[in-house]
Amino acid sequence: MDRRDFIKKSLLTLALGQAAPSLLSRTALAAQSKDKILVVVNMFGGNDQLNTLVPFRNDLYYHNRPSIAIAKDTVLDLGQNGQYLGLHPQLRPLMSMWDAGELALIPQVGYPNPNRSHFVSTSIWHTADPTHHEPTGWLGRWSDGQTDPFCDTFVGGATPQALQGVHHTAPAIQSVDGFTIRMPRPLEDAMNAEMGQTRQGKAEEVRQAMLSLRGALNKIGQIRTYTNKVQYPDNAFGKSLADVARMIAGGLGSSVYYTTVGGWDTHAAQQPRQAELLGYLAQTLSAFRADLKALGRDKDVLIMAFSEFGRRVQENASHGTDHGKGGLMLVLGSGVKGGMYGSEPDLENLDDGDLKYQTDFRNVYSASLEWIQADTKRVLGQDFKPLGLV
Amino acid sequence: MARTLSYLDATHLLRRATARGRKEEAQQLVDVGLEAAVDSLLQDPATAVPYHTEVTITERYEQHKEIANLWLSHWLTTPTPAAERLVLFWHGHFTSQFNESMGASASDAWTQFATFRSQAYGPFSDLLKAVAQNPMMLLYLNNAESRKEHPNENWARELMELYTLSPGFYSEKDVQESARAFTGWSTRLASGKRGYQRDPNEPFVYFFNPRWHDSGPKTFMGRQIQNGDDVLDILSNHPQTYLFVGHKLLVNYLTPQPPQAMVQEAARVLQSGGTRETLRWLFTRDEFYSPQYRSTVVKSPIEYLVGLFYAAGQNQPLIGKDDGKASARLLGIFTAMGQIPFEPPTVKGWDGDMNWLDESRLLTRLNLVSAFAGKENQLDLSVFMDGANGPLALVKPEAQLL
Repeated sequence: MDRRDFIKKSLLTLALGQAAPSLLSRTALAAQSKDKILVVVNMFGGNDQLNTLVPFRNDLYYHNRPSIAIAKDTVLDLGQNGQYLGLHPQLRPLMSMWDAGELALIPQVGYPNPNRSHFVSTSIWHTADPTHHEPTGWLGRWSDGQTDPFCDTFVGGATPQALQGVHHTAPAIQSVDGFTIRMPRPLEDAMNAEMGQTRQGKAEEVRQAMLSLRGALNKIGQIRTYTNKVQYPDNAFGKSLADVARMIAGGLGSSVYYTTVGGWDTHAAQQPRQAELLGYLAQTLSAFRADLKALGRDKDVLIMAFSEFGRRVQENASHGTDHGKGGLMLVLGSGVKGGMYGSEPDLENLDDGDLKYQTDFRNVYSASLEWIQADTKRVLGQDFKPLGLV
Repeated sequence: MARTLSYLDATHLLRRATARGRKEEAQQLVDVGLEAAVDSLLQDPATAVPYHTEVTITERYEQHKEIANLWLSHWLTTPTPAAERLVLFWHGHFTSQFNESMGASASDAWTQFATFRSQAYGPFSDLLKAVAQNPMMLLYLNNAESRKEHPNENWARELMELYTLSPGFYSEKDVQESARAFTGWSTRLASGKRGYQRDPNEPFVYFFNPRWHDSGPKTFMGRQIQNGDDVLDILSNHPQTYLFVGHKLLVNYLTPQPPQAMVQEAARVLQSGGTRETLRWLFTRDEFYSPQYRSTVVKSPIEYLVGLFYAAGQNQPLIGKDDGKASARLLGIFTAMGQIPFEPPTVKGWDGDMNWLDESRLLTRLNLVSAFAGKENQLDLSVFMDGANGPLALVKPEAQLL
């Protein structure tokens, strides 16, 4: 590289903002809003778009899925502005949101060079890096610019990559009620004494984990008195979102809540399984929004649900579908401009048997980051025009 | 001359190899010296008792509790506990989720463990072949239903991505072609019974269904192949398989970030000599005993509980009273700690390391300590953890480490 190239590159680096953040941008980051809240739902396993948002006027759909297609007369018709597509019957609780213009459906979401591995694709969604080089999560990078250890919260067992930054990883809270220490006094005293003594290597990492647990126990203890205003479905996903509502009610102060609902990997006997899961999803989202309305916080909350990929167009011999590419995202909330953000999938023009992707998920992420007034370019590494959802 | 083994090194070896131990066992290893100590740990696995249930085929939760109890009891009482830690390793590698395999009964899961146990130390190629024809696996990854008309790609994909090569070493075409090669690799019940008439005590057996098999020509990784055996042969001869699995063995037995030179060496030993030779090589290396590798592996929940029960002198995995709800309590605690026996969270298995210690999971581990209050007299933590100086040591960070 000659000197002129070097200077050009350096200037480019500065222009792209890859140098250390200036004092100004640090201040701007610190001023992020506490009012707006993003709730992310990771549907792990690869939800089948075609049986969720059904092209029920397309004979090719029924031709490709002789045993698992959703029957025409049961599909919930979304009408002209829904591109004549329809929803799976178990999504009925979402229809009032669609009618009110508070539900955005984004079909065929993906990224360049799609990967059909659950883990590679999930990691791409979590890092927002299809080249698969970035180790930190997209929300982890956002949280690295925050000062509050509870700026984001994972409701579940182990914090996923999306919420892992360089300096900050979101706390993982499985359940509000279960999150309390029960130990005889001498043991608790001994533990507090041990936590005060620094160590080396892995033992020090464990000590840090114990310290962050103690901080989380104090914080969650303060919100345990808050109760839900509505009944949630009695399943793991229902419990998770019920706890998110309590965390919001109790003023935990997170701008981001993240949770996971699994089971979408329907290689066999897809129909009953996916129906059950979609039912859980719709009932829980509906209860959550009713709870938020009762709290007076519905206007502040944007919910975004995604899966790492959609599934193959043609069913397999096990009455299921194999891993595919483009998939469906749902974004909802009273601050959302509802509608269909994309077109009916072209079943005659497939990518190795899969739906071609139409919208890059980072354009959807960008809109969700705007909602919490984050520096989208800094989080996503480059400019992604936000989909006009908010 | 036999190499000596210090008492402190013996506790480290015993803890890493078996996840359980007491003072006198560490002392016995010291007495025989390093090589004989390693030989004694790596002897052929004792078989486990057969599973027998009185419940019906649909009572899956009951069956799940029974095999979880059976396995933990076996690990606590077997003369060959190193084999059980290795069974756990293979269980986390060749994953099968009991509750995601609706056709399978607990007898299928238990039979899969017997396969892991009997093949645990041998050549990787033998284990791979046994797993590929294991009914639990065939049911879990849907190959049992895969037919030539519409091959099911689930098994073929995970075989390469998670069990042998890892991503980047095969193409989508290889997935599709190998899925064709495995069509017809299925299962059946010798009795011919079906569905709800099935006796949960009768496990499925492997069955090749020629009518479902695609016998047309196939190209896999640039070679002409016929059937699934050819796929397994190619994968078993691929150096990347041994780098990938060898790395994983070192993560489990040495440190979360093993040095590249040791991974290369582990891969070489694994390919030429099998798993037992790989562990023997590792356990007799000086590096294995160096301070930088002591207490560097986070105990998984199963290892944490097995270690604790054993330290407390229990031969049953009992928390609290034996009141008929104990096995449900045990499964509940495993759920909260993030590791349910026979139920990896995904086909990738458990992430391990510090993921075991996220807030809610760590809290469950610490709250469990109370269950051992009042048993201080029986509690021998000298192998369980470094730096044990009485029962209160259970709240030290070192208690979480192997």
